[in-house]
Amino acid sequence: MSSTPPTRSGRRTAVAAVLIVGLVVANFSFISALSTFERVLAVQSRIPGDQATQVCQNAARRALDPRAHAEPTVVDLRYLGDNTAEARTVFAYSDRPDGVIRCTFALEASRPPQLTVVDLEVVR
Amino acid sequence: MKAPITNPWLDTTTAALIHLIPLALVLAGRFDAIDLLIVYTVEIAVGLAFAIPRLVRRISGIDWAERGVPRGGRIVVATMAVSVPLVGLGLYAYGWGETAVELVTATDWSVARILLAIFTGASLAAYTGYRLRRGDTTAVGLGRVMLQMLVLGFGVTYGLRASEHAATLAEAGWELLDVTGSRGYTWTAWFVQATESLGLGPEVFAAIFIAGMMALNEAVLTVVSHLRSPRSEGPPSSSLPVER
Repeated sequence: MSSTPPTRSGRRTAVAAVLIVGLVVANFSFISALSTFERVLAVQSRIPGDQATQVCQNAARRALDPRAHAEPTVVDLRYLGDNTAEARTVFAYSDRPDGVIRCTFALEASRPPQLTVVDLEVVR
Repeated sequence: MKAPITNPWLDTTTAALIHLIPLALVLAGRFDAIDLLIVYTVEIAVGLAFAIPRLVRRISGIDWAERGVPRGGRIVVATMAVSVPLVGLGLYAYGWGETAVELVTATDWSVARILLAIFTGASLAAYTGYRLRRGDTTAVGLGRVMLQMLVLGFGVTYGLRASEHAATLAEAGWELLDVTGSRGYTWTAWFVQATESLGLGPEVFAAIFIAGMMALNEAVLTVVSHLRSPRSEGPPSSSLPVER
């Protein structure tokens, strides 16, 4: 079985096709990135950072160290996507637990924003 | 017989660079997303006005000029075909729930600014028209218009909304959450890091996106146009076919 080598015209058509497909993919990728950027800002503009901090501190205190009087401190707040965010809380002076508490919030697009802790995790 | 384009590389480079001119005006503080909408809309309108009569001739075999349709009539039909989707695009740019009146009243219009935007758009359109009259195929021409409308529509839409959200955040004194390490947002994280490192806001981020994609689309489609040209079977400096 023999194969015919591609003609110069065929190669040019193939290159043009690859360029066009790549261009379409690039356009949709960039549009997707911009839409995500907008969505992240949209959610974040509804979350007062201090409220998220307070919710995480209270949840961590109730769930993990109700007797301790140590003040947990939120050291990191991060948007996860799909209307959720997480905060890492450090108990600086507590014996138990001595690690980092990670709270995951559900964010409701309401005014004022409603934050619900849906998950707590101890990170040693 | 019109003169052919004899240097594909110069053509491609020019096509890309002139589409970055509006970005330079944004970075200089003269333009924002609304101005970009005017600039590129003027160019897209010219592209469609050229492409539509050619498309009609390709599909139906009807040559408006041969049928005796006067030049003015062709321009009116093409303009109407262009204006309807572009008006929709303009409304969509500010969100379906908003009105055109709100868009106009929310913008800091000035005669000088509008004239500068129209002049810039007309300059881009002049080069687009120059290329379209010298061998760009109907398919490439339409592909160019569709891609640019896509970029412009979504770019301005999300750019304006992102700017509003950022203004809300700044007004409330809230801090941005960290998005750079978030799951599934590699592109966004890269963009945010790049713009933040340059000290730029969401509106400039959107402008970089719009102008950059416009330039990339023009450059690649110009290369494709040259590759698809029968005359380009010769040496690299061969010319585009001439529309007779």
